[in-house]
Amino acid sequence: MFKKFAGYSVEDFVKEEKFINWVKFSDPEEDLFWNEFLRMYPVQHDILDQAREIVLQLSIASQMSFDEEDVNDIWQKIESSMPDEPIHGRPIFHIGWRKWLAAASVILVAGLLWLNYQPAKIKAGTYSKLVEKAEIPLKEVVNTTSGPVNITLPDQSIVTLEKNSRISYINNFEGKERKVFLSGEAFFNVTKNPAKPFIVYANELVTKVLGTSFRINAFEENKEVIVSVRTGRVFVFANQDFGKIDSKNKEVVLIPNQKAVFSRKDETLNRSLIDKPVIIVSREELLERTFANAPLPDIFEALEKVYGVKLVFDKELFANCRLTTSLGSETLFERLDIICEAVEANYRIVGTDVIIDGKKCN
Amino acid sequence: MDNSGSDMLLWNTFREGNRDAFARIYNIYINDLLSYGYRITSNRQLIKDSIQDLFLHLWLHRENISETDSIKYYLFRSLRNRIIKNIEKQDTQPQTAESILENIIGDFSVEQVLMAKETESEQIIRLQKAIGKLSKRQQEVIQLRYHDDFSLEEIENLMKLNNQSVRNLLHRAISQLRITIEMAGWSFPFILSFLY
Repeated sequence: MFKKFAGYSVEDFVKEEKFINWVKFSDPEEDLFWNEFLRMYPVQHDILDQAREIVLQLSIASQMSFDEEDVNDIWQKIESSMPDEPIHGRPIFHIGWRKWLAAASVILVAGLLWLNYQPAKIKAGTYSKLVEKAEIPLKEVVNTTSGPVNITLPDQSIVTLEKNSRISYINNFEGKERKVFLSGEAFFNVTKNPAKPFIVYANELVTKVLGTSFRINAFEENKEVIVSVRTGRVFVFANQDFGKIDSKNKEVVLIPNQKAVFSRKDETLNRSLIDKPVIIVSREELLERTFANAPLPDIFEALEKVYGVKLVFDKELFANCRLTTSLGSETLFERLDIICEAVEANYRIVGTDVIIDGKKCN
Repeated sequence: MDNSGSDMLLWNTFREGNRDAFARIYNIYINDLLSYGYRITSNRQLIKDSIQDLFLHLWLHRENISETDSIKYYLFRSLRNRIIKNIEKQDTQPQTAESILENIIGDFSVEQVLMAKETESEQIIRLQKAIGKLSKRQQEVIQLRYHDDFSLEEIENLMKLNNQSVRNLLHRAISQLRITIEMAGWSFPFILSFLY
């Protein structure tokens, strides 16, 4: 039965159903088969490796990109057309994407149904300690699927819970604060309510906001806890003795495109730029930012506004450099790469600032 | 991959009128369905309407919907039929939508690639571009096969083609990807592997 594959080329393997299934889904029986095959035909080792790599790359590259907004958009329309009470007993309304970023919106509920037969296991750790200490019984949602799941909290804030992650929160958000406990990774889009702060406890960090959107990465097994901000202002504290906010020592305020990284080893909390700063102004505002043969300092100043990131540069040095460009959907660093290459400049990131060096243009 | 047991349970729970199960089905499959929709047509509104109609139809007719052991296949087949029906409805040309799909060369723009998932490596982006240059049908086969993990038999039924046609499409697609990649002269390890 191995003979068939003895003369296979990379291309043959890439098209072979049995091979594809082995690469994409772990199955002990298939492992045995292919290991035995390699034992008999060791020359095929490299070919098999390469074919494996191609199958994996094809599985990513063959996915057509789409707009993530559609996911919530379509669900809202479906839910509003469904007769009977909607899941949360609230009227569903449709709002545009800008409001979606700024405020609340209603989206779907991750059914707890599958928890019954697919319980996710996590190590007893920080999260469980935090949850145990909670004085009121909590409602827990666990994402055991292979992708992100959207959850609407009682205040209509939306949590996009990544795989292998879980959150707990107080039913109906009773009390003075909206408390949420997180293990794993999630993106939060929090409804504005200045009277009732929204607080997320994730490993050693406490994140406090009034209404904004941000991402927290706090898997129990990771060395760091990271909070990245998309919109609004976010306060992050280190939470050393669980449950008590220690705001004196370790506290940072984050604005969009910034992140706080807590090193669990050194117990330090640092502020820096996220890896891929995105545009923080509206699409309409962005359209006005087209530059025809414009002085470089003007372009840099526009970038500062559009990404909300401080650029440090010598105005006089770049005064004679002129560029034609428009701002699109790229991240800040992609845009800077292009500009810097054009004028032979270079940049480096220091904390939350970007420092640009270069030479005079003629 | 065999999900048939849990799929049947989830599907039946939804058919009994459980909203959580319904929402969960949407949650699990919406990304792949959207992605598939965009592979078939670039008409965003048509895709959104088709998906919305499909799910609403499922909910309203849940009591009359048949059992399935592959929810994903069920949804993909329904969505494809719906999109094609909607394209035909819009189309004033005498051509059928199926034949349009047959002949059109992919119009995958570079911009679209750049807007794709932020974490994708350059290599993936290049492969995406190469896939975008295949015929629409080849693109569809590649996505169904490598991204959505359908069997050849399922792809035959989805695309309403016979076994040999699917094999040919797949074969030509892979050969063409190899040629595109070789001509560009990229010297990535995985491209070298194609030279064997």
